[in-house]
Amino acid sequence: MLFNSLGFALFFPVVFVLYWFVAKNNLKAQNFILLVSSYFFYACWDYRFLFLLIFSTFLDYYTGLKIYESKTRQTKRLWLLISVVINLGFLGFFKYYNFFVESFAEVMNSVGFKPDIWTLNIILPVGISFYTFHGMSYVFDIYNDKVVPRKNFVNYSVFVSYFPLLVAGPIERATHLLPQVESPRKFDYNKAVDGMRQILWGLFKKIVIADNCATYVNMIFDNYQDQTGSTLVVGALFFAFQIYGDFSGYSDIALGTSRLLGIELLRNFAYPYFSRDIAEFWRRWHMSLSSWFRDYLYIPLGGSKGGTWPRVRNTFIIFLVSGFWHGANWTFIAWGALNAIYFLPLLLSNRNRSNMDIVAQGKIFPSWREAVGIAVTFGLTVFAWIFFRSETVADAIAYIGRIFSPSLLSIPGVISSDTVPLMICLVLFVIIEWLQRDKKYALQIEGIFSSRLLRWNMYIVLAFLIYYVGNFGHHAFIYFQF
Amino acid sequence: MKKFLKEFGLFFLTVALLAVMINYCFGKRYYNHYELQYKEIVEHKKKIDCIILGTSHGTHGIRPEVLDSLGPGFYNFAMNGSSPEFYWNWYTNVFAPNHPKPKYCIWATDWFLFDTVWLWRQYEQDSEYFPDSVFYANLRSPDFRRQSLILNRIPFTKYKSYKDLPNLFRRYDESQFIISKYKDGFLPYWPQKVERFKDRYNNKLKDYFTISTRQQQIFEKLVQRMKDDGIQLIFVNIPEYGSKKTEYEKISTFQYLDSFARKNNIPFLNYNLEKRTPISDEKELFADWGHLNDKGSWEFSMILRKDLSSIMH
Repeated sequence: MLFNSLGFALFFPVVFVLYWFVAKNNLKAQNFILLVSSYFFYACWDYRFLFLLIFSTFLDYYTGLKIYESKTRQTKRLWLLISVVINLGFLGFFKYYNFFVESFAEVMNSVGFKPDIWTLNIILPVGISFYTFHGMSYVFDIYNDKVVPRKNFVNYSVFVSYFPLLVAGPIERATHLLPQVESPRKFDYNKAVDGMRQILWGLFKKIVIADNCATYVNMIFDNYQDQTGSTLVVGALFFAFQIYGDFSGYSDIALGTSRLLGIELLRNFAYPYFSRDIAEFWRRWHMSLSSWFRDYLYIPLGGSKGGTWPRVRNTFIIFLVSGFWHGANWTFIAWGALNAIYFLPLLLSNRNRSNMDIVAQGKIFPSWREAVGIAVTFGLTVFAWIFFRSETVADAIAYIGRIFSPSLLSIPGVISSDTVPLMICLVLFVIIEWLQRDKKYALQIEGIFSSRLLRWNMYIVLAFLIYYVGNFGHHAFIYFQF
Repeated sequence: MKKFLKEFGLFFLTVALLAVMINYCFGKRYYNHYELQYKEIVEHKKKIDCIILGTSHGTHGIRPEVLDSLGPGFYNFAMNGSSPEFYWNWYTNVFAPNHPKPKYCIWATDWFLFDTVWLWRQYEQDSEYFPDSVFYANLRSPDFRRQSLILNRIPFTKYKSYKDLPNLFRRYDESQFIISKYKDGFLPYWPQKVERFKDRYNNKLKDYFTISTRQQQIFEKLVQRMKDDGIQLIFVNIPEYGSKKTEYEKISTFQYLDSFARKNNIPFLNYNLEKRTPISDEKELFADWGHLNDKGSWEFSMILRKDLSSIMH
């Protein structure tokens, strides 16, 4: 059930009515409705994996309690290890088994052995990377005495399987979401309106920007051998907008939907393409995953403390693991490594936290220095996306090789009258996001346009723009596969 | 909550109202001769003994009123962009269940008869024009995509491309067709547009289309079905402007049709080859290279009447 599908448009109003009108102010009933609807939502994808989700929930619930009850550090560590091994075991089996087996066989082949390999036809359970990380953060937080384990299994299950974030995040933390699940929730008009606006903006990003770009991106990347250098550049640029529109659009819809139910989720994107350096980009892109890795991997490894070598090692580990988290393919690892290489000079020169504020705050245009920083960072990001999008590393290298050919100066093949509406929407999109970069999302306009009539007109125009320019091919969200 | 629901409801109603208005405007945009063609099938206003099938070349090229004097009642059911697959669905789901069997069928067969790019029309796309009984019967059929039938039934959802928007408030057809002369499925083109005559199709005609085996198989299946229903088929290739015999002879569709017609004892009147007439050289009889205009269709229908008189006894 996609957020941009008729199924969800029917499902959510039913949940909304049951949640606010039937359960009313009864917290237990509200949470029960959330849990049942979340399981229903998940079962719509593939009911067989619902049992895996329930098992994973129970595992972390139980090991969390055991860690808390353990008297010695050693026993606590043992329970933590059990939780981590089983969680990563499932993730590893479903997501990485074939990758490891095939990579092993390739290595053996290269040294002259021809082992019988045993690949399996494994279906990746949707959202497994996300709910596994939810559960693991809970167990880690209990181990680190940041959270007390919950005895109420329903509340805990809602934390793990809450449907707005179940299949593609944001990756929530127990410290942020659990207290909200456990507190009485009252309907808040302003929050609900804000939620609706964020959903509308998310739909625009997904259906107009991402899905329209996807048509050209697929065409270009699937036949890159036949394209000119300039077309390949356009393909990479379109993919940058596709993945941003797709994933941040999904996050906007998730946050907006949740806000309608009175629950605030973690922000996942903060205008990453306006970043002045790569460090800032990673503070603004998929923020819930970046902070997860920072808190549960980077800092335990020593973070940026210590000498040069541990800092370089930790940086590479976190970026490689982050790349690998996205999927079992060397392209994601190459993408992670490339970002680590981008990041290292900033880290080693202690400039990785130099751009913490909002770019050109209070001004319309950035300074030259900022503009150059934004352009360079965006260029580097687009370059890395080529690896992320390509089927293999060899394809990515060949793609880049073809960009730097004499045809780079030709007129891109995809530019025609058919791409004009998309181009106009992209320009509008960038302008609106730039003007609203100090807001949580770009359509947060109630403070700018005091006239309700004007605001409503904007919503109507946006709704019809989505309808007429949007691509309703029901493309699944990219991050569902992770 | 009340305030939120009230405002959301109002917003939803405003959007819905706008959608209804757009729906109305789109619904009125075209002169729906397609709707009239479908209506005739269920209402039987005319006694029809001969149906005319084909693409736009047929819709705007063959005038039933000229042929009626032959005796049997003629009706033009040709629709632009319609492939054999379209007509299979049309015949088995609309025509055969709702209309008495005719004696004859004239099929205006073009050289792009089996090309699915030239012949783009999908059966479900026509649900906008279906009479209610046909629409509901199709909804129950497992052969068609229900969602597609519903979305194509409503102009607001059918014409949802931004490219349709500029046409919202103008009646697109009036500039092309003489609507006042619509009769029995036939709709004439204005005599016009000299600048639209381009010779490009003549020179490399054989490169401009492909042959889909699937369409060919469906064509054969439909011909057999009509023969089983006791309908006598006649293939007609309508004159095209500037057609050259030497080029048209090389067209594989015609070679196939010729042999298929011989094998099945179907008369094939090809007005670009053996039955070519001076019509093909007179620019003023065409709206463009492939479509006869009002005057051209009249003159061609007179010639066709004469040729048909020896076939329809």
